[in-house]
Amino acid sequence: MLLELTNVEVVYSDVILVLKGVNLSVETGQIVALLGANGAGKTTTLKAISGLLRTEDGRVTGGSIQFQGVPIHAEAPQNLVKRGLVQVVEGRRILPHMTVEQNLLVGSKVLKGRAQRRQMLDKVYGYFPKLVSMRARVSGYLSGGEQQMLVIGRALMAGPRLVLLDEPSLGLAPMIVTEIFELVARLRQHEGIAFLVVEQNANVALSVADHGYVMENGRIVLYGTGSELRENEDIKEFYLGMSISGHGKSFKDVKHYKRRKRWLG
Amino acid sequence: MTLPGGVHAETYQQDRALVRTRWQWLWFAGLVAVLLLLPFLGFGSAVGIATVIGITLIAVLGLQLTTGCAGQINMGQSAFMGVGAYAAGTLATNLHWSFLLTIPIAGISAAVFGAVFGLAALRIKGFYLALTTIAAQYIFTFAMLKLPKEWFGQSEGLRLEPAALGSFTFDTDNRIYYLVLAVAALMTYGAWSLMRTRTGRAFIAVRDNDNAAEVIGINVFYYKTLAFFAGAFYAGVAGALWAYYVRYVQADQFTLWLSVWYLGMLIVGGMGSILGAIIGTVVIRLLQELITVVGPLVADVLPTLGGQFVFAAMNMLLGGMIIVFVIFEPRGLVHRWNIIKESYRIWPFPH
Amino acid sequence: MTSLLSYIANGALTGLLYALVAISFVIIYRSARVFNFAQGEVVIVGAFLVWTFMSAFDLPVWVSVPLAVLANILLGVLIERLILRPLVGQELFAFVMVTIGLLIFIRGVVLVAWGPEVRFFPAVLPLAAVKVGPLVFDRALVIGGVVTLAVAAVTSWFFNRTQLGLEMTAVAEDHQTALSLGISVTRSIAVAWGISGLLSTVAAIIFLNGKGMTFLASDIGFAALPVALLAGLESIGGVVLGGLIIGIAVGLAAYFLDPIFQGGVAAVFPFVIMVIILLIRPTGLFGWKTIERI
Repeated sequence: MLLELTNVEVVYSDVILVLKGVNLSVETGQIVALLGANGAGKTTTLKAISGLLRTEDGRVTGGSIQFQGVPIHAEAPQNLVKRGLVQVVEGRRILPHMTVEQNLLVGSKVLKGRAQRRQMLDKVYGYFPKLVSMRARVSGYLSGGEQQMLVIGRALMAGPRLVLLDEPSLGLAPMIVTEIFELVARLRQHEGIAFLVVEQNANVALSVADHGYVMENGRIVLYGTGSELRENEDIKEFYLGMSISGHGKSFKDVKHYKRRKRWLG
Repeated sequence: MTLPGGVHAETYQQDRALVRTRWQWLWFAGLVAVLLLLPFLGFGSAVGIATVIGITLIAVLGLQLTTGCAGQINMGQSAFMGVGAYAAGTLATNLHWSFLLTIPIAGISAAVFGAVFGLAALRIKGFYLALTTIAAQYIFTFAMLKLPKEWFGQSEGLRLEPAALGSFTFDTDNRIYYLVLAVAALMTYGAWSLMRTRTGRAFIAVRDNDNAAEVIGINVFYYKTLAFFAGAFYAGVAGALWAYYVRYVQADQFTLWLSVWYLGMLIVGGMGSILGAIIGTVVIRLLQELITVVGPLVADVLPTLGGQFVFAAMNMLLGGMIIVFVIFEPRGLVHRWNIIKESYRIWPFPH
Repeated sequence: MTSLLSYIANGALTGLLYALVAISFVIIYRSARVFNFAQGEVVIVGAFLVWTFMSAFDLPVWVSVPLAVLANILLGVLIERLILRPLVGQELFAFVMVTIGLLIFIRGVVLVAWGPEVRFFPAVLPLAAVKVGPLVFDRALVIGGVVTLAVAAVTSWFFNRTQLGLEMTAVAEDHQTALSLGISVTRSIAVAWGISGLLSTVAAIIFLNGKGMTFLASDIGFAALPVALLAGLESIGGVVLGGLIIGIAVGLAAYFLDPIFQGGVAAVFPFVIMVIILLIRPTGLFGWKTIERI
């Protein structure tokens, strides 16, 4: 078990309970999707894993998080990167005044020596041919899709075993989104990197995921393999916009709300 | 209605009132009584301290409007105060105008001076704006020391006759205290009211996100300039009152350090609220007085500390307080007070 | 003519000295995104420490200076650990106010420790003047100029070409992103403060060499502000250029305007320049332009 969360509770500012007992796990080389509406607690889950909660006055107050068998909820973020766990924070946070190549090099902090870094850089350029022609460009001027690729590439520079991807499709054109998820699948296949992907676009996430979780109000409410979830009627109704008949909703159906959410949230 | 769960209003007027419950009326009346009767309560220097607090409060209220409410960092408030002081000083000494005229005019001249820097605020944000206001301080000092002696007295400064209303002169501590009290009360009410109007809401919008404010139709340029105008107006009035209180105006009274003290008062009190400005000013001024009293005693006991100990101790105190508050309670004492009130109301629940 | 040239040349050298202090600003800003208002005070602490070691304890130069530098570095690290570390991730205003608070606090401590009297700073550097043709220069200033240029070259190379420099720049851009990449934000900041402590002490020695000093000398911190701004707070090479420009401009202004205003122009002119810079180009000549995506 690469990553295991057991009954994790997270509190912000000592008073706001955001995660109310989250259980989830990721095996080596798996792609796991974490779905849910806004405010469900998905990003908080990722930040609890990668240690970035403290910058937002949050704490893990219960449960345990284990990475490769070792508890990590009290670890500083920099140590986790050394162990092979990298989070790609949401919103394409590139370093806007630095060039593409500089951005990538910053991600390689855990590597030692010039040779290693160059090697890793070449490998990453292999996966992102578009970035090669832009290596000297100031990254603030890149388009959204290019920035998202840069951010993922930067995370890869650390040679991780598990990448936490937060909403990679945010604000991107559908074609680019498909490209990015194809890339994620390729990385899993060739490099054996596991991904925990938080997504609102359930459709595209479930198309590559091995299994997925659905989160609501700080709890996991549904779990299944990718194909199970895609066929699940509840998921189709509430996250994929399809009515019982399997096609898009018509306005007639909207008024007659036949399906109720059967899980407690 | 006062319920165990809190104070709930039944009409809009109740909701927006300053004083809402019977207890609050009692406390308020008590405060007013103490302020009015202060000279007769027998605390020696209390009147002098109260006067200084009153003057400082006006300047700090102005700073609260500019920096706390509208989000424009202003480190030149003391220079604006100086403009007001010099304006009042020169009009009173050279033209012999009455304080009824000089004080408002001092306010307006300072306001215009401040508005000029407000114009800069359109292009410059945040910390760069702070630097511009620092430059204002230095330029002000230079200008006041170099402009003609007949106008501003250069390095000798200006001396004023006491404020006079016909034959009634404000030449004793008590009289000037009441003048300051009246003006301070008026200005506080003005600031509090301002924040409840459209302008006040526009300030807050500009502070929170000026791009978004522009997009929803708020004229950001106008309100930023207005923020500086209003803040500097307050500073000008405070400066004029200062001129009439101390009866001597000189550029060295208005330094960058004073501006920083005012910002410190805002931090300690709490940014963004009128009550915060009041609390911050009172707390810091009282602490200053405390050190002035205790300092010489300590210096007597430990003579190695030198004669400047009081001044140095004040610096250490203010600097230390700013650091501690920014780290532990960045929203100031007002926030702490609100939390105390809340937790008292919902006790024994933690939240 | 000679005297005009002399004003210009001395102005340039003084400008380079301010540039040295300004480089400390830039290093801290480049690494921690903190604008250290207290830089002038750090300079003064360094100076007082050197004075104490040399005059009060009678230690020779080559012991006093490194000791003072070490103490200053320690001070920087302490500041980072106690005061800046709890603020990681907060907004800019908090940092600004904290360094201002620090400024006031250190000033108070300096006053308590060393008092307000004027002290004579020992002549660590040779006092003899340097003659180049008809122009006379203060030798300390010349040495200072050379040191500034060397320091600028080294730090510029460091930030743009080395891995550690890149990481520190990342910290300046975005604390959270840097953390998520495994960079120790706190360590970057500590290193930056340490380096700036070193540079401050050097600047103090050059500035006060053989002169009287009081706690008011910390105003050099504010005087270096316009230089840092003209350059843009992230550019080290720009700082040198900025120092030269402002130094020469102030020299010219003093030459032409001092007679009109009876002196004092040199002190206020940098601020006039600063306001003009801020109005025309707030990010300075070489600073990072704000890249905003709306």
